[in-house]
Amino acid sequence: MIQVFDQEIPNKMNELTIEQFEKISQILNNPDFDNIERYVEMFSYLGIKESLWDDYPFSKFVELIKEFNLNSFTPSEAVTSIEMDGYTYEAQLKLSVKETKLIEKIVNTKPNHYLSDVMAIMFKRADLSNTEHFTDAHLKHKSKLFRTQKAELCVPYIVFVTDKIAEYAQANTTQGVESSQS
Amino acid sequence: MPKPTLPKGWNQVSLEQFIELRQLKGEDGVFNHNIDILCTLTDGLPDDFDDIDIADVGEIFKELPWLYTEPSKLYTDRIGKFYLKPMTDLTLGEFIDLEHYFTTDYLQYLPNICALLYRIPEIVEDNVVAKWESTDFKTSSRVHYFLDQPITKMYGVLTEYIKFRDSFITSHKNLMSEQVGEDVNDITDPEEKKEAEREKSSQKWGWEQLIWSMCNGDLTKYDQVINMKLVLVFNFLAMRKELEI
Repeated sequence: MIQVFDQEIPNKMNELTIEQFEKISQILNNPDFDNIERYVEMFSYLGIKESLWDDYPFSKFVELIKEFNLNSFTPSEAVTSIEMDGYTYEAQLKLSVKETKLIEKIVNTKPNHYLSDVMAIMFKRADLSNTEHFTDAHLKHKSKLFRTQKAELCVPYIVFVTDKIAEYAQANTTQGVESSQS
Repeated sequence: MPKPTLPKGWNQVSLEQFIELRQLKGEDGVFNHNIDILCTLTDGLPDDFDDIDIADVGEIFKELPWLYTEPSKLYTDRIGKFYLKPMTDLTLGEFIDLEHYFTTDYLQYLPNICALLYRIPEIVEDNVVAKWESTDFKTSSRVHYFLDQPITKMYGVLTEYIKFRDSFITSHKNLMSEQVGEDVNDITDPEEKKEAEREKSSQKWGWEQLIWSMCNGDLTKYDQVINMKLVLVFNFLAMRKELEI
């Protein structure tokens, strides 16, 4: 946590929820904002009124941003079992063709809740079959549940899937069509 | 899961599969694109590949180098009961339809293009077509036949037709109107704007105007005109233009 005015603001992966982390990523990557607007908007999302910055020294604002820096996180071991709403959800650091297809689409289109959407695909409710696991309604429901979890939970999985997809893309990028000679 | 049976070359890919392959978009990523390709080549569903390891998908593609080449430009003169009609025998109506197919979306219309170029002869003498069937048939009723054929049987015909078209248009350049490139709304001079608008509607109704002129305004002769040989019509038009009659 960092102290901003009289408030404690979460800034670590074990303090932020996945939903907060998704929202912060969206704000910080929003091309409509300039660098300062991005952080003002981010602090505003975390509960700091915009008007409080009016008389705040710029140099101190820069210091706060440095302190907030999220990049200093070291991923921990992947948690492979979690209980939510009375059910056990299990995951493995392994991707099937179907999971890869769904996750690649998410990674490419980056919807607002892409981290929780990826987690919803990776984690399977222990008492359900594969057919139920992949239904749209169930994935949406799970995605909502994961948004309340701490962001540190998703890091090893996001690193794993992005690595796998990038690795595949690098090795199999579609070649151009060669003209036939005959 | 056993390895899927895949074609070993374009000669084992049907026209329908070829169109599907060319219409696939890679917007969902390389992996999704590759699975879509496998589905097309095997006539399968994405779920059919669920048990394959991701690394194996990459390996499968290493065995499909031909997929990244163009099919051979050779073609056959005969596909079942259909014979390839010489381009010089095309009628005005057939040329108008082909122009529509090529300029709208040639990929989507590939089977229609084949159904127009490959025809049933009415009379064959010594293996040579003495008389072609009339144009009185619906190409859409024949497309299914061509969709099942290997793409290598007819791919070269497309390039052959494009060559014929280019050469035909070049040799009749003086009869073809130039496209109005500029947006009419961008023209400020009222006289020029009026002229451009007239030119644009003239282009829109280009073929109708030509047929109207050939019919001398008698639309009951419409069928006779569109069934005339393309080359004859354009030679006649060239003569009229040169003699100003």
